[in-house]
Amino acid sequence: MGEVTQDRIDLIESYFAKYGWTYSRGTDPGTWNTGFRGNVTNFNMFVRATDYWMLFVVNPFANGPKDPAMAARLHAHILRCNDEMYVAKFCLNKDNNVILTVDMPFKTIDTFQYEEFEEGINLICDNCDRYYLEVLRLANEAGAPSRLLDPPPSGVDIT
Amino acid sequence: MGEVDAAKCEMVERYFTQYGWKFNRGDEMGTWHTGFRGEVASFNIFVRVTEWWIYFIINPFVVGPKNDELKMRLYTHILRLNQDINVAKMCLDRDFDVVLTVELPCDTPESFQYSEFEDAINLLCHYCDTYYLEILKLATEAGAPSKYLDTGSDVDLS
Repeated sequence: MGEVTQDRIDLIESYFAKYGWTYSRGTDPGTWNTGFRGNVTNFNMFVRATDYWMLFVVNPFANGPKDPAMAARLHAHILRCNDEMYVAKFCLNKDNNVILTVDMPFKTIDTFQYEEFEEGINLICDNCDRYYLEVLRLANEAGAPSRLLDPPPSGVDIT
Repeated sequence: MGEVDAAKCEMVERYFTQYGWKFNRGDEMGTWHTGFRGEVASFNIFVRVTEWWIYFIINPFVVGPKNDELKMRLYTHILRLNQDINVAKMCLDRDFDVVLTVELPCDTPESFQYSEFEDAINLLCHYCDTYYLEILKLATEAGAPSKYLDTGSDVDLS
């Protein structure tokens, strides 16, 4: 990832202050832990600035299922979600837990504007609220519904 | 998606010219078709600019398999890969084909610099050259290798 410079760290902390969110610095320079209360649960968010990228991460978003059939259905569903979402994406970590991330270029402190930081956090929050319950159910309930995988119910013809 | 203004369209076409790539305008305003010859295959790229975003899309990147075993390995692989690729992502479209996209904020012509356009295309080309063959194999060959899935991939040999 490369070293992150102090001016980048200062910039991100000024953006956190402007956004009105508290945070704690992570163990590595250029990392922060924060979080928010969503519509149905609380989420921890990890933020990382590098010499080239800005990442906003919820890890885990949902624990990966052990059952292969549930995992297969979950994976297909979240890959379809990736097609719906702007900029944000679902991934799997090494433990096959679901992660939600937003990553953006952060080439210089002059080009990474506050609006992009705000957009990054907003995208995470919006997508957490939008997708959490359906992803959680697919990760935990065999046969949980998926609007992206299941054929739509056939409409009743009343003509 | 919102309306796209003419200034953004002019910007994108100027950036294509600066990059040295030919393009065709799509049917809708704010869309273009282009492509490139990669190391192992040729790819068509669809570019769309909206009120807020610019998208660089390869669809299909790989046609989705019908076989359930192939699907399972392919989907897990590309979800793991999503964590390793910056700014880009792999998705499935409605036909369950694999799609590769790069998406960037593009609020105003002033805020979206040529260097970002250049980076986006370079990244897309790089990811195509780096990942296409392994994903194609996973989509078409039972037991095709995956650095993320195969036993022993995390073995520490030090």
